[in-house]
Amino acid sequence: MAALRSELSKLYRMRITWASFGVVLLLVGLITWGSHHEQDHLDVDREFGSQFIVAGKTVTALFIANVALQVALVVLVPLLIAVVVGGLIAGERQTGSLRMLLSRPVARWKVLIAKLAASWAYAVTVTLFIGLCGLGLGQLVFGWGDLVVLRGGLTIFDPQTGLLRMAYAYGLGCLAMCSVAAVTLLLSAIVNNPMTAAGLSVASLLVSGIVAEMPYFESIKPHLLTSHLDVHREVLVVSIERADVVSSVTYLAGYLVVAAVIALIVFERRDVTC
Amino acid sequence: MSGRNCALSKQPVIETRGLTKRFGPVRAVDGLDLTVPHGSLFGFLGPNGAGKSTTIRILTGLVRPDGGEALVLGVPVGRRLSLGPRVGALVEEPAFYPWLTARQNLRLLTSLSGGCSPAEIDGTLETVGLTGAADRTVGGFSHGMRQRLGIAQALLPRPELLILDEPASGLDPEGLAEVREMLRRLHEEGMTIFLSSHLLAEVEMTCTQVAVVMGGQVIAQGDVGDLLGALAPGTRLVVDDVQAALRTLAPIEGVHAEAMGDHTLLIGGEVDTSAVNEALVRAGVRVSEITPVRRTLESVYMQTVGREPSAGVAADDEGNSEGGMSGLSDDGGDRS
Repeated sequence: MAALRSELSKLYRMRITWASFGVVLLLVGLITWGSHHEQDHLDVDREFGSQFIVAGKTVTALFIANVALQVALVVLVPLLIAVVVGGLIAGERQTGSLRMLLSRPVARWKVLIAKLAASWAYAVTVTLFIGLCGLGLGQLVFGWGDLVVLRGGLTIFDPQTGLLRMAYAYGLGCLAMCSVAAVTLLLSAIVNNPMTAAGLSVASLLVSGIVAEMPYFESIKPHLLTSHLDVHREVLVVSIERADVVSSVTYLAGYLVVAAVIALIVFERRDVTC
Repeated sequence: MSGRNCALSKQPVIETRGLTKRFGPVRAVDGLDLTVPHGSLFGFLGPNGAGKSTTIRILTGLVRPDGGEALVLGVPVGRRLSLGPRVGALVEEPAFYPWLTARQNLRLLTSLSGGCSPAEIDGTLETVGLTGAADRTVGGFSHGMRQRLGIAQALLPRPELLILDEPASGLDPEGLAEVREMLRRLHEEGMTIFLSSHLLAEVEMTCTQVAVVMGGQVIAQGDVGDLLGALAPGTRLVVDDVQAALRTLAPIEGVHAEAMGDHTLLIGGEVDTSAVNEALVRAGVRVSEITPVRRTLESVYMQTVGREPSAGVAADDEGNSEGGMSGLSDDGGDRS
């Protein structure tokens, strides 16, 4: 617990951590601002034209929270995790503080587990912060109401169901981002430079995403991490395909555990020469 | 130092046998045999790339050896965690979290190894002279202040063995004197201190024992007092006419004088300097200076690692080179 407290204390005292929360707030603020000025011309009209007449509000606090989640989890949050978590080991290795830490009588596995837990804490808090900002700003500007989801059709959830589905979606988003954090921490344990760790993390996600779109690699697509990072979308439909959700959750948990175990082995065995 | 002989009878605090570490094709440590006696203030010397830092990293568990054995307080380095806080270390330059204060940094670091009371932290900050800066963020610290804070973290909680890698690096003369005094005090209080340093004069003034490492091996190891010799091994004279002085001294039994320049001559061994002075004055040679010459650790070190002493040291040490490393036990003579 002392190691975890220590890691959390370091993580939440770093400027980059608070800057990342600022960036999230800015993004959600922009989404809210844009929605406020464009609410009469939202995708509902673009997608369905004159086929529907939507009575009542389409833009609500839940709507903003959902849009923010969809937008942020594609690039922004993985990028922020790459930058923040990438420095947890490689950054300390570069500055020499890891040398000082590990020259003290402390078990390396405890330090690594603490760093993993801190990285997951960050992934969860930054993801939930999106929801908090979305609901807060959305409530402030648009008020409460139904959750309108535009994904291959139009789905409208009543506020109570919508809130529950958003909770599921954010929970799954947290798991997905924890997997990204575990992979990033593994890279951070391997390299000496935090920017290299961050770059490799982003690059691996991009390459995985590109590979997944190539027909030649169709057979491996289901096994790629990026194929499951949007699992939160699966619960924003009327009838949830449980098998698909369970499959994605299993993959995400698998990536998380495997990356954590490899990071542990690397961290235990690697010489501290910086 | 007091009590040293008593302490030497105990088990060595550090003992390595055939210790080896390779980085690719480079053998950073190559069969290193080292014994650090309990209660010593031990200087670990060697040129850059000799293997000092790698040895210290192995002893502190930062680097895994490829071969050989290393025991710290009788425990293999692989199981060093069982020693708990009995060993404190500062490896190379201290690196703290710059956004935390000195006190917060110490609290954070010590929390991982069982924690320390606020009183212990305050006491250690006072020991290293940082009481006034305890609540300032480390980001604004000078190099010397960071160095002192690095020593402070190594002292928390109070260890039996203190391992310091270049503790005086970057300190000003006042800081050097303070660190030297602090190390002496800790040593007198019973702590065994193992330190590597490039500052040979500091090691000479501070340490009781030294080892010289080169090419990843210990090439010499011994007591500083034995090494330097208890008595001054020669006398330097500054005269107005060296040739006249040499002619005057040549017939005197037991006096072996040698010209060191236009006005300087060196007499090897122990001589009655008043008799020499009287003989020279009687012969009309004006003597303006008579100085006992002692060997320095730097000159011994230079000889050991096979480098020529600097000019000043050569003048000081001339005539006594036959002593070589006589005060040292030669652990690696085949490489020296």
